[in-house]
Amino acid sequence: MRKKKPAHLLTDVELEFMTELWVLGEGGVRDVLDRLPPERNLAYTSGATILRILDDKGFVSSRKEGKTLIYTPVLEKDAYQTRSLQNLSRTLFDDTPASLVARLVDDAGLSASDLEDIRALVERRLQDDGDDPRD
Amino acid sequence: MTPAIDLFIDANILLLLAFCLWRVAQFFLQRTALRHDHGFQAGLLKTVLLITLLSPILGLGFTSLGNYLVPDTPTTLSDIAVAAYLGGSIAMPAVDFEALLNTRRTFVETFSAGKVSWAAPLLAGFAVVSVALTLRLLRSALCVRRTLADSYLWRRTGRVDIRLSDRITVPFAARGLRRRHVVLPTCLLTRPRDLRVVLAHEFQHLRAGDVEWELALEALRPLVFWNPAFILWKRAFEKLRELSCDQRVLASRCITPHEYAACLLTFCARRRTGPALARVAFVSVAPNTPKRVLEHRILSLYRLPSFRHTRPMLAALALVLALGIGSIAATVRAPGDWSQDRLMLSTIVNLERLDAITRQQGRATPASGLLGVAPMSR
Repeated sequence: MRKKKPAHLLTDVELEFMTELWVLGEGGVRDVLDRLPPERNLAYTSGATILRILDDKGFVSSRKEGKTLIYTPVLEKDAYQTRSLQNLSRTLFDDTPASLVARLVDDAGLSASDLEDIRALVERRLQDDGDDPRD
Repeated sequence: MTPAIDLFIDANILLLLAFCLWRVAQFFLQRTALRHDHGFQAGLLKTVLLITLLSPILGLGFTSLGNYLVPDTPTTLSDIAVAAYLGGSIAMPAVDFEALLNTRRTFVETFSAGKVSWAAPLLAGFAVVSVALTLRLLRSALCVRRTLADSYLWRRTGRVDIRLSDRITVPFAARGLRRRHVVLPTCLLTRPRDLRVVLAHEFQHLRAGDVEWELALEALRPLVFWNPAFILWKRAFEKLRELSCDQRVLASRCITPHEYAACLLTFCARRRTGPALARVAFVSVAPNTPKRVLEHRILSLYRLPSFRHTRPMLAALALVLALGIGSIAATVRAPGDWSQDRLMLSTIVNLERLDAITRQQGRATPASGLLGVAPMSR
């Protein structure tokens, strides 16, 4: 049996495969490859290797259906987004999420509507925290 | 300690002189049709390095052969000089000549006895640098081992494992005790054209034994780091290794020079931004001197050698260099026991000294009359 090597983050190509699997829910190598843009021109063996690595890293689980391996995401997209942002905040913004948001608000060319949405999100979060019975 | 210092000095002199011999051979090669055949030049360099490593045995062989063919003929440089002096070819006072001959022995004895104030700091400095280089080598080995452990096995062909790693940006070849490995960045799977070039390149490195050579040279570094010949030789080896590998891959005609150059440029750019990990990397040039070397590599891709039957030429040249290095190894050795010529020189030295003493004391006694009682100076 292969030894699992758990990993924290996905590489670019792994993220590309995981994104397709999140949309599919589950699928085999051919299913994922069919969803990639035609110009990617990836060999079947390369796709199979990438999914096997994802399995080794614990991002997907696999089961055999006939002669085909079917892969299912173990980690939800939201959970990975949170993990990825936490990593970004820790490595690039000295573990201060406020700096990350400040940079986003300053440089991302956000529209007034985007800013309004962000304000609503923050206010809702503050409201929730205020109502938290543990406080 | 003295024999160890003697051996160390011999090895370093030999390294320096062998390098000079190789440079002379290179100078003449550059004026022949073989100047673009980097495979030939890399082969010659490896042969000369191997001969240099085996030179103590070669030197012994030369001395034994010399003694067998022409007995009582001096073989070491020191003995040849003594014979020349006694033959009247060198005109200088015997005392000065003997002091000159004994320079190395005097230095080694003074140094090993700690009679000079700078001996201990020099030895300590050498030991510190040597230990630091050994630790750096171990750290490198551990780093490669960790990368191999964290990588994913992709294919296995014979004794070679092809592995994929997220931790590297530049592919490299390495080896363990039993298996050899080609480690590729995972992202290479999505670029089939580059993947083909990289695999051909790394397999060529394994076929040429470059990983083993690299390991051997790096293992030698802590001992000979201060010798400029080693540094220059290592640099020449790295350059020729890559140029030769490029030419051998292109010689198969499965990859065009244009594809190869594009792949090379991609990985040069990655090497500048990625972690410097590999001991034998796809692009082995030092990060601060890539431009000139890279230009040379790319130009040489379009200048494949036309001279094909080079093995007899390589064997002939290697034989000539082996003769040269072997005779150097035999001549630079410290002289053995007292020979007739050295006893004669010592006698002349003692006579000169006694003559000087008697002159000082104002007694003009002929020095030759004291021959029987004069103590021999060593």
